[in-house]
Amino acid sequence: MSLLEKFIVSFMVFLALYIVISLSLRLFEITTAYYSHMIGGIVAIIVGMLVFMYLLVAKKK
Amino acid sequence: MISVVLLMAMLLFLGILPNSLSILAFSAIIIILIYQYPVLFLRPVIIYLFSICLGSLSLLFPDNPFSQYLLSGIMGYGVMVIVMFVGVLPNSLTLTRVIKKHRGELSILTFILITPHVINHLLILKTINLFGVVAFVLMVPLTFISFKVIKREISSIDWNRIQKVAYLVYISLFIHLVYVSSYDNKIIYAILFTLYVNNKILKEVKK
Repeated sequence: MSLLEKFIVSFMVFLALYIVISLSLRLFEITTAYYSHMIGGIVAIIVGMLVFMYLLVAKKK
Repeated sequence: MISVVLLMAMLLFLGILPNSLSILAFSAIIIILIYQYPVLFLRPVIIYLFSICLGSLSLLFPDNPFSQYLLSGIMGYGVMVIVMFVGVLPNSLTLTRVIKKHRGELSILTFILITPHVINHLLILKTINLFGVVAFVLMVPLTFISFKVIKREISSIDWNRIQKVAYLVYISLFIHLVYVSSYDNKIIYAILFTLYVNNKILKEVKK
């Protein structure tokens, strides 16, 4: 997998998580709009970065 | 040299400098410390832990005048200026070679010192600037790959390609600073950024 593909995969994970978390927090009215974006953003960045790091570090078998 | 450090520290202690000059004063202190006492950076983990403690204390005691240096991001930007400008200084200088040895540690330190500023704006002040957020988010992978353990696992080509993201960080940080700072600070930031871009282009053309 090239660097660009690794980036695209982790970016997709980031976007999907961000949308799912922030939308669900707003739909179920758990938080305000500000906090829904903040929580979604932080969780999505952490997971997205972990996926990117994993793809970078993982060796081909 | 140590007298310059003391002078800069006194100016920062008195708090008479505008933010932009405080950033430069802090950069000068770090540069002199690295150049004169490289032994300080032999165990970077101690500096990271010390910075994390400072950041936590500044968040716990935001009213302390010294906390403002961390909460307004001055210390973080101060270290970032060094990381930025060491890339455009000629490699023939001893100073450049000495600082380049610790560039990775300095970029990790930048991230640690900027984090209290981000937490303060995100959770306490609730005033966010989009360019600042972009710069911080882009800094996350750069910080991760600066750790020697991870750097060893990544191919050097990939590592160098990812490091190019740093230019985006510099641009978005510059825009962020221009947005949020006062007029006199804007002039100094503009001069610094112009100097950086000019020297970077010159260096790339010479290659």
